[in-house]
Amino acid sequence: MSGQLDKRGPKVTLVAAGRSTGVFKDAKDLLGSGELLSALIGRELAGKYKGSFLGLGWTLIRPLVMLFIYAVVVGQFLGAARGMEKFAIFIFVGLLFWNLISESISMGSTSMTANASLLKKVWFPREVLPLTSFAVATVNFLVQGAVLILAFLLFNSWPQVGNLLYLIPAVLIVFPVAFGMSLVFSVLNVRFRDTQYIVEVGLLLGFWLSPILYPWKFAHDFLASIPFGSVLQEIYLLNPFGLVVMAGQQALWPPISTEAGSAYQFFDSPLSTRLWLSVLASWIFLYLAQRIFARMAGTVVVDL
Amino acid sequence: MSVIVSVDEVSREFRKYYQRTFKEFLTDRHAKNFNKIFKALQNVSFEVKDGSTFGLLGRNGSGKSTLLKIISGVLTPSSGQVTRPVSTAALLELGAGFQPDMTGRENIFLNSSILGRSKKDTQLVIDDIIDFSGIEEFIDTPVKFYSSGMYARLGFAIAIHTDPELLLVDEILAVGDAPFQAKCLDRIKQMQNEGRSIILVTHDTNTVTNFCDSAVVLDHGKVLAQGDTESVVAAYQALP
Repeated sequence: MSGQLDKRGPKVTLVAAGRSTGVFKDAKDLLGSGELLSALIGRELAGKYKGSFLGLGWTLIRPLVMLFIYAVVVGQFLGAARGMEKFAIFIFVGLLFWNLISESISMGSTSMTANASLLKKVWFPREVLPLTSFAVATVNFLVQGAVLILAFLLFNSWPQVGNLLYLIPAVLIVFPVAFGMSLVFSVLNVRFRDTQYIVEVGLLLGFWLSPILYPWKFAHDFLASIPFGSVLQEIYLLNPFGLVVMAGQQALWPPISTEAGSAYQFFDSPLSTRLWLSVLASWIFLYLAQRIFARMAGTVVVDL
Repeated sequence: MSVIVSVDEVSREFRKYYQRTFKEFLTDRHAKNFNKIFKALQNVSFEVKDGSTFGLLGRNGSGKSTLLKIISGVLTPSSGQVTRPVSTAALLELGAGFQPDMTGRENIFLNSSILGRSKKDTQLVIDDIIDFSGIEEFIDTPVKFYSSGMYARLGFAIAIHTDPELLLVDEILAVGDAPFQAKCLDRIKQMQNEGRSIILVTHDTNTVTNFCDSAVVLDHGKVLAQGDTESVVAAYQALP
């Protein structure tokens, strides 16, 4: 094997929890763990559907069934579509982003408890675990995105290239918020197992309070008709995931640029102040989340 | 000779009380022993010279395994700090992170990456790892079918092939059957000769005398004696 050891590598200093070495140092450690990250992603993807005939195909079946239910049952039977064009694509775009959010957060929240044996035995930057959850959710997002392209083909209707710019702020919000929440919830869940159930309830609420099955216009119009409606509208728009979904719809729902669809536009441009303020807030949130994580991760290992 | 590991005034406390749900936290907050703490380590300091083998001697519950976990980074200290090489392999828990459904070969790559070795580097030593583990016949079998001995042997083989500057060993000599133990000991000797540093945790004085250059005795979380192996072993044997 390696034989005589002649050179000495870098050293690491391990300090008490809460006296962390700083966010940049932690980020550097995390970036240096690419090999581990890709190995864990491979493990998750290979392990999840191991022994099933369809394998990764199962990633598609759930959203396709949900798409059917929402487009036909909710959209037509219950009449939620209200004459919106290509309502199925509208819903699918929303679900696409929502699945990325909910899957990464729910998997991320249990990432520390699920990998207890690893955490108790080996040292590595702990942020790798919640990050793996986000990465796995991203893989599923991309697979489901391929279905969306199929739908474009089927309807023979494509989004405008310029609108794709909305995807940039959407990604810049979804990553820090989903990863940041995973960081905080994953350590809290080690301390209090209630966390994962609170997260489930929160995600359920988040699903219905984001304009996924209905366009923002419907919520807007209703809220405009009640007292304090304008305040409630602002509160509704504080939900970062709602903004992500809306930016996604504006990027990928083809009718948005037609005359009939323009009524459903929310952002006037990909440079919308609200979007970019939200991007800024999201990264500040990620910073704070990492600080909490760094403070707690070293001590919670005992509780596993 | 330079110092490869320095343990500086390390203390570690644990709470005796433990709750898992938020309800328990609220209701038991005023319980009598809620805030009681147990001091597993108190102001432990020592240095390990580069290329030497260092013994951590102590009875059960003296804090030696806690200290090893702090050095490996799995646990953080409550106060104080540890400086060690990034390139450290811990033979604490062999086969940690094995994925039951994956084969031995797949787990070699996964485990090596957990221990910080790239896929390319693992490719270079994979035959050595399989050879050393002595389970070539079952290397493409999922590890859930392995016996505990096979599990530990594969874990050991992976850990020692990560080319570490520092090796942390916890009661390693209890692993596997006699021939495999002999093989492990040979391997550890070889690593000593290669100039790697080793920290060995044990409660066996023979191990210290045979393997170590210097040592420390822990008793109830405090350093009782440190220095050359003879005086340390004497202090350990003088423990009531």
